[in-house]
Amino acid sequence: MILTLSTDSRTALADPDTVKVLAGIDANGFPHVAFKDSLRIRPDGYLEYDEIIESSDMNKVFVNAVWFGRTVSVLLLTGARRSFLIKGSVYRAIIAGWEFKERYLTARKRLGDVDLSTSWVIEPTFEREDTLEKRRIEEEERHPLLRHVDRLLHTRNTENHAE
Amino acid sequence: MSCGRNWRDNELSLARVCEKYPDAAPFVIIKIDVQRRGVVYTEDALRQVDPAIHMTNVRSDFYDKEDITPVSLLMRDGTSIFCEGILAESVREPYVVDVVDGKIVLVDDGLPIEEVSYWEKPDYYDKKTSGGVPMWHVVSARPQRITIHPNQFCDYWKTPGNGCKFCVMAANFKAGNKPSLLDVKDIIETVSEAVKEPGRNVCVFLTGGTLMGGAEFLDDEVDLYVDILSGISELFGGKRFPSQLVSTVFSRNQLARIYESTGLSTYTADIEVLNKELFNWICPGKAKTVGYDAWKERLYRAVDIFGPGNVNTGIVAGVELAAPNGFKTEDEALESMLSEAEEISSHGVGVVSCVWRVLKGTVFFRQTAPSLEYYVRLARGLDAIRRKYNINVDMDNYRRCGNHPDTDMGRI
Repeated sequence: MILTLSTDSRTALADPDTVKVLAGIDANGFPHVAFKDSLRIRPDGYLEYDEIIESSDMNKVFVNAVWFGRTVSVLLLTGARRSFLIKGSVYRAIIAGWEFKERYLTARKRLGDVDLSTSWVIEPTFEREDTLEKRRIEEEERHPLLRHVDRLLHTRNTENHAE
Repeated sequence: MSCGRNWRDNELSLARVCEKYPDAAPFVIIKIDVQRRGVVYTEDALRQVDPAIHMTNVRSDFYDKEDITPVSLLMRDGTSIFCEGILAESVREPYVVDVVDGKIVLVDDGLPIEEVSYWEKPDYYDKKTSGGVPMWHVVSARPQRITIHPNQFCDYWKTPGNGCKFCVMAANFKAGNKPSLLDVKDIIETVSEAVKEPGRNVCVFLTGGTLMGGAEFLDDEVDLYVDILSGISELFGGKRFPSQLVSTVFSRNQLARIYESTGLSTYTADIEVLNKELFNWICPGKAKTVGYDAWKERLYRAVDIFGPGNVNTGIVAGVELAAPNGFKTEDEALESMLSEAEEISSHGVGVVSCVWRVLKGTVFFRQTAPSLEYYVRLARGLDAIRRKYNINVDMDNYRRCGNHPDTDMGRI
């Protein structure tokens, strides 16, 4: 049973205005980050993206991840400036067969005369809304000791209140 | 090399090899072990086969079949596990392909190891040529490759004792009812159909048995490939296209003729084993007609024509340990193989290994393939040599042959 993503994340993934970023580490431990517009949610709840470039850093990150069980991260930023973090494990590479053919044709329809290396399938294992305001409130509720004391001074609060 | 009934006690298990070589992809290690030991299918696994989707029929120079079993397997990382051919009796049990929790998985010793899927067949597979020949009789397929075997027999087998001792081509040909030479028109027609399928193929591949005749030794083989490749080249407007020829080793003039008159882009001539004395024993026909040193020299000259990264040579990894003339220990064999691979690679020729599948019908059918650990050490060594000499794996990567653990390792 895989993690079911929230409606907000799903909406963000489906929104063409959302900026979609993938991140992972390569075999040497170097981080790689890339924009991936094709990132989408599948009917079975897995995520999927189309890798156009066979020799790209991100393709190698994904091969490394599926081989050695490394985690990859997805970051979404919506047009309304809400952001979502999803972490996952790489489940499989679609490189041949009817599924690949469908994705190959779709990619070429969308991008023109391009090739398609692989459609990578990611199993989501963790999700969190990362919008700053939401995270800031959560942080102060969960970690009340992790703040600068000047913000808590009575006079400062009064001043702020007066403003 | 011998291997008793208690073989699991005598060699490192899959799990132990994965632990001992943490830098080697477990997927590649599993692939090696499955290719070495073979597979059997449970009834549940066979119920997952859909002949309308999956590839169950194949006709090639070394394997013909029409039963319901899948031709081969695909792993989650996109790597193929090559299961073609009928393995000889072995004390090592094959892996079991079963269905667990709704997924098709490899099982060993009762434990699920890894999920797999079955190769899907291409669109042309159920069609016929204008002459009524089933296209799958003419051109076989791998998940991303068009595979042509124009000559399904080999002249070396016409002289007793001259065939390569690991090779099943003669036995397969004699067991079947098929022409030795395929019709070139049928081949071009089938390839014309096959290349239309969007997103299916990344390589047109030719290989077949040796044809020794002609004005110059091997000219008949060269002529056959030129005829086929010229016809295929027309489909690409005469331009060079992703393609690989695996043939007997040709002279510089013969290679220049192929290169200049066709769109062929890469060339392979398999030396089979990286040791002169063992080459003479295992490949006696090749040794008598070409010779080990001349084979290497011709490969080096091929780089002048096709360019660095576009020429390689294959070895049947493990035959160097065959009894009675092979190396006595895996350490000794490994040191010798990698040393010679480095020498060849220093000339810009890649060395790729195939896992030796000890097949029924071969001279070596009573032999035993080496340990899993040996194959992993060899694959790591070949990968390291290829990186050291900056030899590109594109011509023989995981998408093309699918039978080279060392080039699989080049994916990261």
